[in-house]
Amino acid sequence: MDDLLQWLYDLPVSQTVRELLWVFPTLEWIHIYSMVFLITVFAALDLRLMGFAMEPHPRQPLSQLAKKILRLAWISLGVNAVTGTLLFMSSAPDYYVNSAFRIKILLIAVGVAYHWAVIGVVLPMVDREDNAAAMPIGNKLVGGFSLAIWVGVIAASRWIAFV
Amino acid sequence: MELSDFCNAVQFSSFGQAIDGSAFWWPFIETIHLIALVLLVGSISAFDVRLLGLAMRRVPVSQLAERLLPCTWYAFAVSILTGSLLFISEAQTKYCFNPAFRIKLLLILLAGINMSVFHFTIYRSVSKWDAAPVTPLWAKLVGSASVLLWAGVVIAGRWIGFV
Repeated sequence: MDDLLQWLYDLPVSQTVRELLWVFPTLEWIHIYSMVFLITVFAALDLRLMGFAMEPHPRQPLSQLAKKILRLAWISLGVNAVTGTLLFMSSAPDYYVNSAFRIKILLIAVGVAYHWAVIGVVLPMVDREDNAAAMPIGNKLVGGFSLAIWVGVIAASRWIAFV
Repeated sequence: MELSDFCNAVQFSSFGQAIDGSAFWWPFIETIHLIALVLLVGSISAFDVRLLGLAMRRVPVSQLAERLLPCTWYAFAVSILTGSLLFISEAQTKYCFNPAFRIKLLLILLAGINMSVFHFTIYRSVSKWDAAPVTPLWAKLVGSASVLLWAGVVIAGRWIGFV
């Protein structure tokens, strides 16, 4: 593992990110700006599932909302994966042993798997509640858990520099 | 009182020192600041894409504004509050004379002016184009300016640590 991390660290592209003054903050900016869209989309869907936002509107049933906005989330996730990987490579050995970073990656994995699996299962089942304002408790829990994971992702990333 | 006297006074107050010296409060406040940023820039961007006619073309503009604005204002209030706390903790040494920080504040001010101009002029006649998928040119200009200004705010915010 150490060899792999060192190899990543030594790659010319990692050196560029480390050494050219403007590259790191630029990547970080893209990473954060894209994160805004990723989490806004997930949060919008989670809040709708919890019945806190976007109550029934003839044109905003739950399933339609999901279909429309999730695509944006996957695009943002792709951008974040690319920029995040480059940032990681620039100091791979340090990030790898950082406990906040590990928690962050774990939470992202859980959050993404959760959206794919659980929400993918829940959404087709909610036809009945598609236009309802009040959501059943199951839906609220599904949305609330997801929201908590993404808040955790942000908290963990803020903590990377402090552990 | 000179600006630097003021910055020294707040930074070296017991309150400022308490935040600056804490391994918990600084990342904690920064986490809240970032979550508020997600909701602020996310909700504003959602409205901007409608103004630009890129998405949600069938949702009346006034209805979207009514639903998104509370989120925007709460998020803005939380951003200002947490941002002030972060500022206080390193007012003199990190923020006050940091060009990226100054540009960030200026861009927030410009975004506010852009939003006010929209609200008090173009938005007055919203009933005429509320349901139109294609918004008037002025609304598009305001939407583009808003997207650029808020992207600039995020860029400048990221750059504070690098200048």
